[in-house]
Amino acid sequence: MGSRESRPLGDFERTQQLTSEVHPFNLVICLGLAGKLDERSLTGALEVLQRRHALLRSRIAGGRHGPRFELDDDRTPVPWRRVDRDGRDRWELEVESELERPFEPEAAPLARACLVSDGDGGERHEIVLAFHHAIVDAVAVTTVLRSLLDLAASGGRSTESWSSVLPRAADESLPASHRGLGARWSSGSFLARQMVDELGYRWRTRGVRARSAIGPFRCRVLSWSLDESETTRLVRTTRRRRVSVWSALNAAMLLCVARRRYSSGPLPHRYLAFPLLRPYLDPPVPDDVVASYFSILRLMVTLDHDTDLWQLARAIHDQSDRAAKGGEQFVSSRWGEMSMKTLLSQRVTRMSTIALNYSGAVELAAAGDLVAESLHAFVSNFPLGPEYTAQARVFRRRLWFDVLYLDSDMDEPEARAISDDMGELLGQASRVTT
Amino acid sequence: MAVTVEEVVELVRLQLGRGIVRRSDRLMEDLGADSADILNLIVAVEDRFGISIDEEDLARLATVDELARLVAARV
Repeated sequence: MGSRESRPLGDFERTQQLTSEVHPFNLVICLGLAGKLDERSLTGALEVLQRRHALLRSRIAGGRHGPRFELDDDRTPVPWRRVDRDGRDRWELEVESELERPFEPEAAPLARACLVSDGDGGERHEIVLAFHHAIVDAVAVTTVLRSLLDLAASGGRSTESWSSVLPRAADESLPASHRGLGARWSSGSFLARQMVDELGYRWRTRGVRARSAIGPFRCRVLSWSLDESETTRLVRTTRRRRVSVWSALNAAMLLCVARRRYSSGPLPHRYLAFPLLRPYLDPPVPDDVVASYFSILRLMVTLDHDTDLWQLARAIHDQSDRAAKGGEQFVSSRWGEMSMKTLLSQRVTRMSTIALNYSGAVELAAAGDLVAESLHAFVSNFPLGPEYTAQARVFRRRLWFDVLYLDSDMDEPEARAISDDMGELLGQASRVTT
Repeated sequence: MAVTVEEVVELVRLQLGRGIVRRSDRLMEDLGADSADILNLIVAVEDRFGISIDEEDLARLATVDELARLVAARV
């Protein structure tokens, strides 16, 4: 994996850093725990994680040749706060605050932690962890949470040595077909298609598409879930329909946002896919490497209010599969920074109508007396980002949806109505025998 | 119904269109399967062996051998 204490940010990491210069681009997790909690074990566990994973004690330094990750010689610990729960929604307030709190890139570490607790002797706790998205992806976060619980259960003490190995950037190990001449050809073809797609989108949505949010805004969150039987039924129905759960969820979200926020005629809508790069890099990057290895694909479908959920899910499934098989995730990763600069300079279109990341099933074992009871995840958004975003996963056999919206785009009743519509639509669709 | 590892390996080979598949192969890293390929494979496994694979099972499946063991445990 190399042995460097400093390295330039990769293509997609630079895109993430550029985004964070406009608005914080943080991945924020809230882990709900039940049981006796020893705060010192948790802070000790965080220190062990910093020993183990170099990016958890790194900074982003500027320079003549672009930004670089650098290890923090001072080994500054992850800042830890403790707040008492003063209402049921306290963790949501902390999450919203963390989504909007910037990281000073030159000040390591690019992570923060907060414990929301009932006070001494309480048995319900939430740990809110915030990371600059350039140092962790959804896979890395699961690794962090599992290790955190394991280490906390064993007292959070370790004599592990401090790793000084920064994981390599994705673009240092692209598949052979995406290097050299192959990369130039696929880049040219990709950029041409993107341009045609963009012009078509602007023409067909003139006068009706959402503008960038203007004026002050706040990131707002809300969470909802399907129960165990609804979750099982939905997963089985998607299998019978030969589409991925992610495609079905995207279709439902697009339909529900369109029905609430757009006129009923056929209209193109953009959605984002977040393909994982780890397994397809050369060599592949194991899940226990804490770094950020994903890309963004911006895709488009045309729908109206009467569009059938499963037809739309099929279109999304086929479209994203074609893009993945064509390796567009690697090309998009390379050109992400340029796309973001264009978006920021023009400020006329949003990235997409929706964005959804689905992590599949996430399992966290009990750690001693502590049981992980809930898990929420959010990624900061900004006024040129999608109008409605969500992170979804199956946790404890239930499908969880963590929604983030900007209050300059919609108010809470509208955001909640979209979520309610989605729950109803998915419930109905998976009850119908195919 | 007893299921042999060879039956599962053969199904993986056909579904992913690979010439040679080993038990130790990782579905994504070694065989290059993307999420749609994995979905098609899981559906084929469910149909062929009459079992149900949920999202938790899927999250634990990395290799052909793990898939074969899951199938053997379910039939």
